[in-house]
Amino acid sequence: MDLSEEKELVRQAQKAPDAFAKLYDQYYPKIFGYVLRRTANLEAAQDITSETFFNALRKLWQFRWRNVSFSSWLYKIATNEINQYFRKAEYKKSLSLEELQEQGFEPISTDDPESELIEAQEQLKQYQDFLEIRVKIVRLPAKYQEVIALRFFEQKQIKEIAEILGKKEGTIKSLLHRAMEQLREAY
Amino acid sequence: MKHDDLIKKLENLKTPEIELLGHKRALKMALLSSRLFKDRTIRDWTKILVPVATAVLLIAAMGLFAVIKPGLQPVHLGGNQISRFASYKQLQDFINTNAQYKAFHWRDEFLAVVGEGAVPTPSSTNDYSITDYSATNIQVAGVDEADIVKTDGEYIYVVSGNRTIIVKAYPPEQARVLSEIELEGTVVGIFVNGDRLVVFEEDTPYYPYDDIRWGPTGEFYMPYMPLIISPKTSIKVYDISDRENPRLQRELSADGQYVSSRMIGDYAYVVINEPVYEQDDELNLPRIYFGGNETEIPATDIYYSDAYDYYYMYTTIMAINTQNDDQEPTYETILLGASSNVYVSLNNIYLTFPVWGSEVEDLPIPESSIHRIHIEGDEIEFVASGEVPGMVLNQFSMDEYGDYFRVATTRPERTSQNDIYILDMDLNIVGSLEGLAPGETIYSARFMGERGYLVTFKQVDPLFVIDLSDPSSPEELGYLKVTGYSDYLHPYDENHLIGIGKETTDAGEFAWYQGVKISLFDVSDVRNPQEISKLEIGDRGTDSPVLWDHKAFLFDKSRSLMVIPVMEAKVDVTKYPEAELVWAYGQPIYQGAYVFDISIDNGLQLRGRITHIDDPSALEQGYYYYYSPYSVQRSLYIDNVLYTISDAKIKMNSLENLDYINEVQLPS
Repeated sequence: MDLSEEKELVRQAQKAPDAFAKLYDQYYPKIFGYVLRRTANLEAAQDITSETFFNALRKLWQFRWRNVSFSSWLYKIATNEINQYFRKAEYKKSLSLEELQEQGFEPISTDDPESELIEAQEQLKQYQDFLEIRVKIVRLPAKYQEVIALRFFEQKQIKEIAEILGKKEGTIKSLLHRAMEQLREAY
Repeated sequence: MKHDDLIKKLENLKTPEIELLGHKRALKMALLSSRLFKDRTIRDWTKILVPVATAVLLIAAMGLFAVIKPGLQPVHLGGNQISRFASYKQLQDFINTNAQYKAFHWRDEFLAVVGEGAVPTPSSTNDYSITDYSATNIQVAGVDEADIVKTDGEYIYVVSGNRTIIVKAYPPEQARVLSEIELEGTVVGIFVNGDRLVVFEEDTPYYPYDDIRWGPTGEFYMPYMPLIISPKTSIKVYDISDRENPRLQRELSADGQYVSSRMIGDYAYVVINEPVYEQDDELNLPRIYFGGNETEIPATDIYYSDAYDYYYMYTTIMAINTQNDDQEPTYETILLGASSNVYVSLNNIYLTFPVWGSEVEDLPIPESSIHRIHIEGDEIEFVASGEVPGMVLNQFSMDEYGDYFRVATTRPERTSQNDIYILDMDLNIVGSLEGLAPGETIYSARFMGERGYLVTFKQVDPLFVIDLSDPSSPEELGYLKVTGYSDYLHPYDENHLIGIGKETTDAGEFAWYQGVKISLFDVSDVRNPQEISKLEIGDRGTDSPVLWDHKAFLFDKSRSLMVIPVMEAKVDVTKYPEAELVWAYGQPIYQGAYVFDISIDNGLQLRGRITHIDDPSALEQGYYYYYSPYSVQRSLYIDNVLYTISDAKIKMNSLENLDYINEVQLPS
């Protein structure tokens, strides 16, 4: 999807579910992956991803193309949600999705969500190196966790990280530098 | 570990790539079914925000109110009083003190809706004559609303862009274009009153070439002056005693945007908004142009009330006698917010605009500021101001009955609720019915004497019947829950209502809207209203202008006739998996006037339909979607002839059997 196509989709998505669906298909794996790599918790990743997309939909009509791409905008919402998750002892679950399921709205899928989750837990355990280093990273202040995750796990350019976090590129560079210093001390 | 090693380690780290397909699908369906998605919500907000947006844009362009000036005492009147400013200085202090920086906070959101058709609703005419032709569908008997099509039983007057075309229409065999009036600006509506044609023109300023200066390096720039993009609204009165040669008799203009208009008896009234802006510490003042003179309305002639707002507008009401050219026009100006809805009874104009309260979930909770202006002939008098919680949907949410003003509002908080307020003529609330249908939103309202009808919606459509006989305690009598909702309610007779809206498919905690739905409700048993007949047209994506413009609706009880323009869409079921059919949009397959038989005994039946699009495949290919010149916009009848009108032509069919009689091409 090129930028102009995406722009058009975002414009349409404010009214048409079909257009929003395309954006969702494009970005769900990225956002879910990002949240999972930050939290290493599949349940939390589901809740935070749900909340991120609901917030995006809620705020979509306010979204304007400026200097921030739609992708960065989504990452920004997700980052805020992750920070909330870390701050609170118990993260407020995505009610909207839960409610829907309670009211008999079953996902149209032959997959069994329970067994899928168990399988995913097993998969996650196999990323031993990642989990080890992540334990050290989460002990750092949130501002350092963000930049490390975006830079190394999401492979974002400094410019994109600046967009997502709403900070200057110079700030991102020094944050990264200090984050690495602190992480090194943990070893 | 060394710094570089750590970086290398991180760069080469294998990170989890896991997908939960079940969650992905469930979330997708949940999102797409969310009520956040109702495109209606967006449309309604757009309607209300556009005037606000325009104002804020203009203000932003000038950099006005960017700083709250400290040390000034707000001017407070208290109560519902209205007064005039004592001086220009007082007006300036009032603006500088009361207008808040907050407007800028909302700028981004507003910008997002600008340009999505800030076209003010044209309004239309009705002589209460009893000859056999149909008039514009209006709200209050005797209060005509300007429209893009008018007839007097022999001629049809049609607006197309910047032209007003006079067509000899009856008898249909002799139909032909007689004359056209071409104006520079856009015609937003017309009235016809005997041998007088009243045209409302909105003229956006242009930059004459002379005003463009060339910079030293070849770039050009506009001089500072015309930065204010404020249109000018004109009322033009034509003598059409000779329909082939209309003659301009009088012209009255004011700076600002057309909001609405009405005609009562021989007097035409227009409401115009102009944003207040400041340049070099000087405030603009409204200007009136008449008879070659330009008059600035002095601050001491401008009314104001205690309305607190983020920005201000001059709302000017002008009255002109359409028959007597010797009578001077009159006008009054009040300093208000951006009027978004206008209701006019035989003696009063009511203006409402949203006043933003605190924010919840990034959405402000509006209250509605209401202002009553008494009109009688050429007299215009600002009388009272008041406020009610919630937001007013449209003119049908308001009504004057006896000495009371009734209004239905929605508070669009996260858990919305709907209220009815009854106010006295000083606009003090004397009675209320609050908290109707929590979580739902008003889709349509209609007041009929001592009863009120309200359609709210979230999953199903409750039609509420409200007893208004005691102004101090309105009471809910009963309600009916059916699928779908009505955007427009029209009285069939005192015990029956026609509802036009969309069918919906319930899907748990939300609903998908589907095709256009027409219902006939029996409300004779107020505690137990019934839907006695219904029809659904097309699939999801089907639309009708009646859903947002009542003037597109034609109904005549004695003829059992109802006509509405519809763009019908069909979903190609082979293109979507079954699970997605419910939210799939159909492709347009037909646009035209749908003609119905309607009666209590036989309910609703489609008699036939009339299109102006000769090649239906063009429609399917996506041409001629909504704004095609061949889209039927209005219909009317004269005797036994049904006239359907698009920008491109007027088509005549027999009302007996809908057979084609004739057509007239309109100049483009």
